[in-house]
Amino acid sequence: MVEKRDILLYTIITLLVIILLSIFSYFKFFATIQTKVYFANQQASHLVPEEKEVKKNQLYTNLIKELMRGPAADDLVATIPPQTKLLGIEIEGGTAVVDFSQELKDTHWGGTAGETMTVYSVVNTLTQFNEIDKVKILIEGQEIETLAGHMELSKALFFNSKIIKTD
Amino acid sequence: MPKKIVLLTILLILIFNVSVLAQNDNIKLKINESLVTDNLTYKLAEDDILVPLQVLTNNLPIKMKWYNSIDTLKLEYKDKNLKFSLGGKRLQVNDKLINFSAAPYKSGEQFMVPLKVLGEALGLVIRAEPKQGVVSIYQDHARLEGIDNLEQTDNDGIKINVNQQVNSNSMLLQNPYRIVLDLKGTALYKKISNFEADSPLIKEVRVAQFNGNTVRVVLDLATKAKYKVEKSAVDDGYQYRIKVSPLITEVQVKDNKIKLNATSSLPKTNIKYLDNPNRAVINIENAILEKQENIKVDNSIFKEVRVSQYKTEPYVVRLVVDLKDKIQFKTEAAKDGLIIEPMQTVLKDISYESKNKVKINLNKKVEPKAVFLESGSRLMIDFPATTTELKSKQFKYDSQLIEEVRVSQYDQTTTRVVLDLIAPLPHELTWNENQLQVKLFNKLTAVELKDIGAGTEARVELLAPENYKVSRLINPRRLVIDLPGVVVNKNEVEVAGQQGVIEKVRVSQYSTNPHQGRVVLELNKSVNVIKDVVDNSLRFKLADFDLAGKVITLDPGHGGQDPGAIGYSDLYEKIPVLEIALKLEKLLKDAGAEVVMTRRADEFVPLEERVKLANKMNSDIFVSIHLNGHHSNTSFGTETFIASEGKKNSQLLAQFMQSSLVEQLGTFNRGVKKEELYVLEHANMPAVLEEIVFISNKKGEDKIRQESFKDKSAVAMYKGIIKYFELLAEEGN
Repeated sequence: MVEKRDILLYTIITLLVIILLSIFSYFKFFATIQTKVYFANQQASHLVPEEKEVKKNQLYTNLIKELMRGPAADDLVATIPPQTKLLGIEIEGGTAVVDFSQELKDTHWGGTAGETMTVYSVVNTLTQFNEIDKVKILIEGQEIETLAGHMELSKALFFNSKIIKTD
Repeated sequence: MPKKIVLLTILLILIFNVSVLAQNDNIKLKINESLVTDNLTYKLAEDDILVPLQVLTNNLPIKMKWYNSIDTLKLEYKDKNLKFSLGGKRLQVNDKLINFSAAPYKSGEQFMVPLKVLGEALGLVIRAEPKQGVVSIYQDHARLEGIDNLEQTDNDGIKINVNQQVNSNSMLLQNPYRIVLDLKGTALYKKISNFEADSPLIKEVRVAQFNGNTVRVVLDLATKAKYKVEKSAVDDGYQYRIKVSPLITEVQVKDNKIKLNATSSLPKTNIKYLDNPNRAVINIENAILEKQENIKVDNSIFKEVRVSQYKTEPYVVRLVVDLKDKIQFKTEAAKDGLIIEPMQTVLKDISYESKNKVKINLNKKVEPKAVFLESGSRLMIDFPATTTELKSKQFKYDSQLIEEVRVSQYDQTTTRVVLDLIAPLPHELTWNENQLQVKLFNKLTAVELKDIGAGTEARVELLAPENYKVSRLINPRRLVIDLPGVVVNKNEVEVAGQQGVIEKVRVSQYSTNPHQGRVVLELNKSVNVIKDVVDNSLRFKLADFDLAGKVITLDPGHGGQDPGAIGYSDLYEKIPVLEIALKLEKLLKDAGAEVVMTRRADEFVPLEERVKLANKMNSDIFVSIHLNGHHSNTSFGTETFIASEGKKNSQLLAQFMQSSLVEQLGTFNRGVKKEELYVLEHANMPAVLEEIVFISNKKGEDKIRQESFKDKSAVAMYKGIIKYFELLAEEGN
């Protein structure tokens, strides 16, 4: 009898612990944050931020996925070719290394304007956080000389404030 | 008056009490120099002499009344009423009371009265000559009070003070020379000793009672002189002034000196100078001219010397000297007159300063006479009254305008500096303290234009070779040639009209301080300038502007596996950019440039190789040619990129390219932007990347498919490049 009661007690305690842990986990898994995601304007002259609520879990991946999903506003333009896949993001020191699939390069529409919109939409979206200073873009895990034949992408790029238009 | 009484008192004390006269000595009494008695009854008192009143009343018109009852005497003489009592010391003169020093008394029939006090009260002059034992009484006589030198500022001479105005006359006597002044009705009531006047003209001054009515003053002169007597009322009487002036007896002009011979030294002079004509006016104060003279002179300094008595009140002799040059004099008083001689200027040395400036150093300023001899291209500068210390007489300088400078003592008084010049040059003389600076200027004589086949040559002709500065203007197109130190006299310059690329020639004196001449060539198109100097001729060969010697790398974007931007209807950027680049290549080659192409076919060239090629070829500029694209099909316009740290020349090139493209193509101006583009970041020379139009836009793609639009794009870029190099040429010169 004594043993049965002990088992019951242990079971209740265990259940309580499981319930508490589940509650904490829930908050951890499903908490969100207000962020900015940058899209191009029609003239390809500036990037314009859109406010997005993004899950904290896998924050950077979620952000780039928001970027790939495209803008909500009609007058803004997506900067990542739709067939593109995000292969991974790693933070090394203050540098975010973002790996895209080959489609980013192969299906890009080109133009210096088009290229700068694409590259800085990624760079500015990620460098809005203090822990990321600069961003380096890879294709299929490989360093690239350029994306569309103009920009030098073998090096990481910093946040570009003059390309942003907020109004 | 009281002063005089005191004086008299002292004198009488001297006479009567200092025992010159003994009580028992005989005394003569003279009235108006007539002997009245040679044995005067008298009694000496403390400081007076008592004499019988009857001596006076018998010999002078004095009325006397005796009031026996009151022992009182009353005297009337002229306007004077005197009353006194015997035994008393009081004397009433009209309304005033004065005191006797000794009381009058009666001695027998005679009233003994104190002569000094009483005589004085009656207005008589009483004079005692103790040595001679004479007492003189003068009736109605003026008194000579004193003699002295004239004040120093005045003429030489003496002044004589008399207590009232008297008649006087004066004369000049010879053998020896002396001036005599007689003062009539004047008595010398005290001894005045002879004295030496403070003048070299007057040896001695003597004063004496010439007779009963006249005092005579004699000035013994050292030499012949002139005099004049002035008289005027002064405090306490009247003054006679005998002014003595030396005589100028002769004026001599000898060598370059003027010598005035005079009876005495002439120390008081002043000199004034006049221009036009050059003239010195010398005033000699306190001098009298014996005869007026005009002396014609012909030497290196004087033309004429005129001497005249300029003024007599006071005496001033004036010497007017007509001069050949503007020179100055110094005067030196001699024992027997005055020497006037030119002040000597000394030319110490000559030096040369760059900018064709010759400096002549003197010990003082002297007005030079500069003459330019056109025939010999010679500037002659004469310094009057100047001698030179220079040993070296010839100087050669490193000047393009001066061949030689020579210095010589032209004549006794003139130092001559001669500048042998390469041509008749404009010059300027300026004084800097005691330094005369001679500045010489080059001169523009002509601007000629010549057809030299491959262009036009402008020849700027000067008198001498000259440094110059050329600058170019693009809008309006001009070549400006600045000529420092050059005089431009518009009327004397032969200016050519129009020739080839030169529309018009203008010349001007751009500034005179400092001198700068300017030649402006108005051009009708952009040109290349080749500069040359042949002797005095600055030559500018103007040929149509070209890009000879320029290396330009053209970089048609993308190629091969990289199609570049994809057009609205799938036109690949890589195709038209190559076409445009090849068109531009031809234009540039025709203008003489060496063109390097990063690709000539549809082939893939990595960015790194493109820019390496440009760097290797030492390109002057790098032009990357692109068409733009975007995810949207509405973007439009033309933009030019330069490196993120784009330097000045990249900026310039970008601006010329951007504005030329926008202007030629009529596209929207998206401006010049700085971006980290690979080829721009790694190029070692001014580099631009052109995005001509958006082919993601249907209109843009349609345009770029047209041959004419591609031609226009090439021409627009060509013009931008030309403007850039023209500007460099303008700045580079």
